[in-house]
Order: sequence, then structure tokens, then C-alpha cells
Amino acid sequence: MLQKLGKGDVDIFSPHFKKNNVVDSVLWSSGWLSNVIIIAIIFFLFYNWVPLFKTVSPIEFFFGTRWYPTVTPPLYGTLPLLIATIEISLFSLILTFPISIVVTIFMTFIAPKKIRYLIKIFLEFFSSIPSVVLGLIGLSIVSPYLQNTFNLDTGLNVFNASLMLTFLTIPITASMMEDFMVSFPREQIEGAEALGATSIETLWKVILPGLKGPFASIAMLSMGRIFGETMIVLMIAGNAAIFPTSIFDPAKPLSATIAAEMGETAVGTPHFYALFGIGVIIFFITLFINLIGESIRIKYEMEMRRN
Amino acid sequence: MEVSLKIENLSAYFGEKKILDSITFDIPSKAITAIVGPSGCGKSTFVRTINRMNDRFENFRTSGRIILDGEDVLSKNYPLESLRMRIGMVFQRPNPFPKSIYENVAFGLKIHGIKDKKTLDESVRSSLKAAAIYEQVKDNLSLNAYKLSGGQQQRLCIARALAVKPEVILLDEPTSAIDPIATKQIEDVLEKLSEDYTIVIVTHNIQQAARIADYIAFIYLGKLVEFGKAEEILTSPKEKLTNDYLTGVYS
Repeated sequence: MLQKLGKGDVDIFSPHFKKNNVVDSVLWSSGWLSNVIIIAIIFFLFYNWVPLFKTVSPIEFFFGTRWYPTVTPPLYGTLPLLIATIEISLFSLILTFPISIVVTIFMTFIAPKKIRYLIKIFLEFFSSIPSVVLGLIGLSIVSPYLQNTFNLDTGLNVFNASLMLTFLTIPITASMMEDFMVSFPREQIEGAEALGATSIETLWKVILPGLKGPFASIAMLSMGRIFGETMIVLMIAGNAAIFPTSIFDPAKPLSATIAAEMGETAVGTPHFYALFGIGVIIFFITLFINLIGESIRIKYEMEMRRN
Repeated sequence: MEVSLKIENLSAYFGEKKILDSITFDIPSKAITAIVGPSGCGKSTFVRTINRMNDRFENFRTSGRIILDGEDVLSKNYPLESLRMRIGMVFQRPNPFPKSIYENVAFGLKIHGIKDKKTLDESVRSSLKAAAIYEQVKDNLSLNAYKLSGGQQQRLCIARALAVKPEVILLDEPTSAIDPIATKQIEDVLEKLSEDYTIVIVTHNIQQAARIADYIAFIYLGKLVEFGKAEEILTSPKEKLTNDYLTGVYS
């Protein structure tokens, strides 16, 4: 129903309505500013990376199997770093995803209201733990434990890093999942229950299948988050630029390499340029992962919009 | 008249608020009973109480009894799953699952443990036929149900409810989100179904009740004002309230 305009109301459809030019231009320019900043970042990364190819071939940079920037002649092969990042991220996602689903299901379907709030508060609290603190825990508690229990050379390895990254990511992943779970269409839940489905059957046969799209998208977004995380892997992945063959091998992921080496690198050297190149790799892979995640989400929303 | 459901002194509350107040009447078997009344009078709550759909709300409670085959379905001992197999429901807005047409209709059977492909196929086919949608979808049972029109989706939901072979079908304003032509199709389906099923339909549309109902129950402010044969209620209501409602004094 259209309502009559009262005194002091503004008819925004009136031809006499003047747009608020200040607000309009602030919104417009801040929207564009963010685009400009992203383009500037990309430009900046490339600007500091491209000179590397005067001394190192792109094939060597992308597919070289050895990263030894301090030997002579220096070797700038990023493949072991990339593999280490992928291995740690995938393993961490494999841990994060099912645990988050279980936490979410427990929160939304099983726990009584009070406990649900407690878990929520706990998750919020957990997500506010700085990653450096998780790094310290990995370093001082998990690492010696792993070393002694599995009789390893070092407890600083892929497994330890993945585990700590999992703790870092679960709160974010679970709360994204919970948003979707809570807002799952009530009509569909009732539709299933009206056919005699128990709540577990409704969960397995209607809700979880219905959330495939969002959960796939959440998996990608979590992956993107894990991929670029630096502090934990810098502290506890073991910092050895080798191909990790088992999850108990130490490794040196991309992001940790930049953080560890940038400080001791002279500006304008091939090493400096190579570190920017690593930045480019992280940037584009993360961008790509997030784009896939977003496109899955959009596709799902289009499907759910009926008729 | 044969009785399907005996409603005895039924009251329902959300928290402190009384939504239904001491409703007593018998719902006749194999006939269409329309529940009419102004919005907010408790019509929907009434049908949702019959199959205990409101049990999901923590602050919902009832008193009184609803007797089906000599047993009180409101009793906590009455298993919800078997109650809902015997009393099916179709909702206001079509709510198919985002699955194929076939999977939608087979859903109820599958959760009740029927796996035999032949039984499923046969049941899906006969249910779709009974809901008068089979001819339109028979070549494309794997189509996602969301691709159907609103009216088709609602008939699919009727087919889905029929597949588990209920005795009673509750419909909560099933045509309020649907265009007139699709409404007519659904009304035809319901009239046909009333030969074999007990049908309880909530409607705010008196014309609809006049077109299809055999019996009408008029509810006002949570109380049953009048129940009787449709033509009697429509032509010579005993209560002044009913008469006022029918002549449009309030709506």
C-alpha cells in the first residue's frame, strides 16, 4: 500500500527531489577508490617483480625446484614453496571443514539455546586469538609433543602448521556455515517434517543437500583465508625449502618466505624482486580461489530464487 | 456421516496467548471441510495443531484432544512420524525440495524405508496422476521442481503428500499464492481426492469454500462459531457472527 506523505516526509520520486550530492559523491568515490587501490597494488607487485627476469628465466622462477637465494649462483625456484603452501592449506581445510560442519550442526540442531550461545561466545573469543599466539602454542606445546610421540626430527612441520591453521579457521568457517544453516528456508524443513521425516532425516536429506552450494563456497573462502595466512606458518612450518613428502616433513610456504626473508634483502636485488614475485603468486591464487567461491555462491542464490 | 477426526475441547496457546479456545467438532471422513474466518482468527494454527506442526515451537502447547481411530494424536506418546504419515499437509506457499520431480514425490516413501524401484516408480506415477500433473511432467521426471510454475509446484506438493498414502490431507490456504487458473485446477484435484481422502482446507476465500466444501467450520477469534453442511452455513447461518462475516461486515 502506498502511504500518503506526511509533513516533513520527502518524496524521492518527485521530480523536484534533489539528490544529496555530498553523500552521493562520497559513496561513489569510495567505491571507485577501492578499485583503484587494488589496481595500484597489482601494478606495484608487478613493477617490483618484472626486473627479476633480467637475471632469472620465468621457467626457472615458476618451475625451479630449488629455492636457495643465498648460495652462488642463487636459485629462485618457487615450486617447493608453492607445493608446501598447497599441502598445508589442503590438509588444514580437510581438518577444518568437517569439524566446522559438526560444530555447526551441534550448534543449530542439538544444543539447547543456552549452550548454543555459550558456543557462539566461545567461537567469537577463539577467533579473536591473534595468530601469533596460536603460533606460540604450536611452537611450545604441539611441536615437542609431536617430536616425542612420533619420534620425529622436528615437531615444526606441515602437520603442526595445518593443525594450528585449523584452529585459526574453524571459528570463521563455522560461523559462515551457521549463518546459512539458521537461515535455511523454514518451508522446506516443514515440508520434510510434514512427510514424517525425523529431524535427523531432515538434516541429512534436505538441509545438507540444500546447502551444498553455500558450503562449497565457504570451503573456497576458508581456503583463501588459510592460503595467505603468514604468522603461523612462519613460526611452525619448519622453514625448510624442500618438497614435503609427508605431513611430518618441515616445509617453507610462500607467505612465510616473504616474511622471513624480506627484512634481510637489499632493495633492487634479484632476491628482492623474487620475493615480490611470490607476492604475485599468492595474490592471484587467493584471488582465483575467492572468485570461484563467490561464483558458486552467486550460482546457488540464483537457483534458490524461485521462478 | 462417518467421522475421521474428533476434535474435543481443543485449545492452543503460544506462551500466554490463547490462540484456539475450546474447539469441539467432528471432521467428516471422505469429504472436504473448509475452515474459514478472518485473518488471525486461528485457522492456520488449527490445522497445524492437527498434525502437530507447531510442536517445533518451544512455547506452543495445547489442551483437549484430537481423536483419530480412537487414539489421541496430541498425546506425547503418539509417534510424530506415523501421525504425519496418516495426516499429510500442503502449505500456503508451494515448497518443493530443490530436487527432481521424481525425488520430490519419492521423498516420503524413501524416508519410510521403501527402496524397491518398482514400488517407488509406481507410487510416483499414481501420485502425480492423482494430483493431475502427470501428463505435464511425465516425459521429464528428472526436471528440477523449481523449474515448474507455482501452480504446478503446488500440485507437485499435493502429489508428494499423497505418495505416503495418508488418510487425511490438511491444506493451509493452498491457493493464496497462485493465479486463478491454477487455483481452479487445484480445486478440481481436491474435489476428486475427496472421494478417497478426508480433506481439511483453510481458506480466507468464501467463494472457494462455496465452490468445493462439503462442510464449513467458521472460526472467529479462536472460537468455533458454527460448523455444518456447506450449503446450510452459506445460505442460512444460525449465528449472527457467521452471517456478518459472509456478508462482508468484517474480513
